[in-house]
Amino acid sequence: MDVAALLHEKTFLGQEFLTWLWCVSEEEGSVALEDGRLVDVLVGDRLVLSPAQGQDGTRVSVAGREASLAEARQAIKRGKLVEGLRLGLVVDGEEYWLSLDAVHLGFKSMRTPPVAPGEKEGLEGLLLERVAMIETAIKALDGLFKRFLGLRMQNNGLPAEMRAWAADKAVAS
Amino acid sequence: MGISRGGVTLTRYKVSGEAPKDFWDFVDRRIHTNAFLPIDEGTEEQAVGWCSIHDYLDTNFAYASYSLDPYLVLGLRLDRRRVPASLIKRQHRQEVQKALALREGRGLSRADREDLKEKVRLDLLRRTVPATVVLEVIWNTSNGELWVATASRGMLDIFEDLFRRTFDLQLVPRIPWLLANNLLPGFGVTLAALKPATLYTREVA
Repeated sequence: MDVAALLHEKTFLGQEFLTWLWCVSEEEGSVALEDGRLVDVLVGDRLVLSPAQGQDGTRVSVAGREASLAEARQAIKRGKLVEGLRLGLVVDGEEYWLSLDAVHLGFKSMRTPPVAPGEKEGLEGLLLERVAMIETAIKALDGLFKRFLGLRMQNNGLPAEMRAWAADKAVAS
Repeated sequence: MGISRGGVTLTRYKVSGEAPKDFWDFVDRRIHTNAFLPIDEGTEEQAVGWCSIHDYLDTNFAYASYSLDPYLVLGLRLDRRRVPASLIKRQHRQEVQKALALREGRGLSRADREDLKEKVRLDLLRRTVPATVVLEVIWNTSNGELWVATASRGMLDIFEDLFRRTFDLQLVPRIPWLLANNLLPGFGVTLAALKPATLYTREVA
């Protein structure tokens, strides 16, 4: 199957993963990865929801915190899933922020922790320091994706924790 | 802004294919062969090639500056000349009027008009300074992970084309489905059986 066909037919995996990240940020707040590292998951002030793969409907974009999240929760209950979000990851006490989209899982507008002045010398040193930081964030995200895939394959549908989370939100809103 | 500093936007790939045994010699040859060549003096509309990640004017790669073992770090430089169609049209009309005046009432054939248009286009291109765009590329040769600092489809097409021409290797985008199969080798059948699901709740008003 070529990439264009995969993007069309398998988009749901990215949508479900991003929705799981939102769920994790509101429930457990952190995930222990396979390598033993603990990653805190935060969702920023941007969420875009779209119809699940194969469904019709409009996209819902929300920005800001509490008020607009209620709208996003309603969209989840109507069968939409997260298409894009601003995600925060705290790894080894350092915070990374990036925008993710469900289709490509590309990193947009990523902010890494600052490089301490004098810590690395020269262009090559600075570049290597940044590469190491970006690798940390990528490994954390891959670890989270792997964790989600494990849960997804154990369940006939989305994990029970996500269904409970969505139901709780239904009561709360 | 980019991988070196500031906020960064990345597209991820996995490099696949068999690299030659003399890998770094091979890389050195291929990068020099496909290094950026300036088009400042010509009329070419576009030029693409590799440059130093730290300085886009550096295409010599002294002391193998692209190598931060195991990383291969490169800049992709794209120079482009763009002449607005409206400007070509205006200049072309003026040239046609001049030509008609010289011919004392005799008309211009279609071919003559097309020749004049091409002459105007080339003249304007020669006088236009190319705009430069540089993309940062980081390839971890120990695990095949490669990053390009853009999400623009057009720029990614240009990058993919130059990478394949340079290294004769394949680029597999890290889209969720392919990444899943890469993270969980041996689970292809289980992954393929997954069907889309939602958190639809019947009682929503």
